[in-house]
Amino acid sequence: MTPQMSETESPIDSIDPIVRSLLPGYLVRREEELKRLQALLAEGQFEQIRTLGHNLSGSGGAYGLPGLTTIGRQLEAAAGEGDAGAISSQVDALRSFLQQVREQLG
Amino acid sequence: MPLRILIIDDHAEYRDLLAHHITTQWSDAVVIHHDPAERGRFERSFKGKGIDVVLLDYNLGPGFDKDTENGLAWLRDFRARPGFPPVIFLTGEGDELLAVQAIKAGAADYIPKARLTHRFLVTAIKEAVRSRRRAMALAKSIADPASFGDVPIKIRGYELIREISNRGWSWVYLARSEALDEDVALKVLRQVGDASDGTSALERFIQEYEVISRIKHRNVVKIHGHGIADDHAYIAMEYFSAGNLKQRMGGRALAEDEALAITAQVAQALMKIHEVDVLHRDLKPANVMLREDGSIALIDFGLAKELSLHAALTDTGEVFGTPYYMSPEQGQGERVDERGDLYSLGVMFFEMLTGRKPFVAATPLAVIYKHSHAPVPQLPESLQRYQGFIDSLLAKNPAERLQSARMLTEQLALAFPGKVDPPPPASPEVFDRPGKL
Repeated sequence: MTPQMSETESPIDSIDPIVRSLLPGYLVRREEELKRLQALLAEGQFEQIRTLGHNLSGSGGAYGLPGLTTIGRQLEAAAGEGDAGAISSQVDALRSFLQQVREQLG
Repeated sequence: MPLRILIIDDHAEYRDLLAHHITTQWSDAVVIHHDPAERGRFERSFKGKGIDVVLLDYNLGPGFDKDTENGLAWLRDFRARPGFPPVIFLTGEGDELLAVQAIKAGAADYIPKARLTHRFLVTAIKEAVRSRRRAMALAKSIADPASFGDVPIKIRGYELIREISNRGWSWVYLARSEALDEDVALKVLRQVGDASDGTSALERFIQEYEVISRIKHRNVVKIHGHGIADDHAYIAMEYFSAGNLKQRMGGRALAEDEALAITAQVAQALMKIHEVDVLHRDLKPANVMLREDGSIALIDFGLAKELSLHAALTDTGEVFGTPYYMSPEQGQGERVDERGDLYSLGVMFFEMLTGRKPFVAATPLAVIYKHSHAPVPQLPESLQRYQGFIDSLLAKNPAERLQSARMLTEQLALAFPGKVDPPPPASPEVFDRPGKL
């Protein structure tokens, strides 16, 4: 299941101010990672995708974005299974999630 | 003196985040980064000198086979190095069993990485530093700390007979007390004699003593004494020559009356410890000791926590316990209360009646999953009169369980008059009160 933010919910508002100052840089790195994921998927580099998913799972919640933890966990699992279709779905979910966060940040 | 904190994690971005939290709280803190994938293992001679706290991730990254070399293996290695600073263990979501293993291996605390918050990290570091300083101060008061080594343990006033168990951070011996002229179980903490070692272990050791010593009840292990002697902290406790419930069952069902009697006595012990705001949190057959007269006593309060402390700890997702006997909420790292201990008792009751555990699976995490999702198993037809108790003790939702050990005891007494006595009024009890069954 893809994590979604409702229209009334703004997870950005609830992020600890100590972490919030780091968020823009974190999101830029995720955008870069998104491109890298697409390239890795095209090359069938599942182990590297698994590592990226694992790291996303650990860092997402810690940066106040638990939705990224969910995507990261599913990405890690899909890569472990070598399931290109599921990885592709999670890459799409990541793109959509980042877009929503960007809109929230304004 | 600025704090010096070593972060061991192959994920640079996460190290930076941890460092950000640390330097936001302590602007002069010195943060040392160590990427295992890049810098490899530590030299054998590395003892963490000058470092106050180590944050250690479970995953060491590329170049390490996670099955054979991981953060847990490093933690065990570090804790075996005299004087090594306290280690706070980091791991991913869903790795609840690792929390148990890390704490038992001597970690000062445990943080699920995705649930990191500033408050929790700062609290964990402060507590680890405070613990270490307390232990160092205590250890410095011990005479001749340099005498510790691989020499046989000697505790004045006790003659060690044989080792009963070795849990890494503590040993239990059968010993003869010269003062009492009787056998005792002597729980000994290793390496207190090293002035800079044993912080979290000593804290846990002291906590265990403090918890048990506040509880006077026939169904809770009796303490004969405690202290620090010849480089070792020790607790002298009642020795149980009849062994424990796990040994008694030996994979087979007990007679119904015996299962009922033991369940009722454990319930009475829980009633007492919950009355003084303590949770056991690691209730399992190996922690239920048997006396020759058929009575039982709970032991191993090493993971026990006071209820008032517990909520804050579990809010962070920290998990303790043994998967087979762990309540669904404990397995999920959620807040637990006395109903978690009742769930564990329900698992034991089922096992005593049938000779098998209610939830088994190929992996510990799968067992945790079953506690939360699998239906409560049915007892055989001949044991159906106990099914209601099993159902109400093993309810997934704590609100649907029997709400207290007192309530359980009352209902057992009503259902099985003559076999189970009703509970006494809630008031302080003396240790030598006769057994209930």
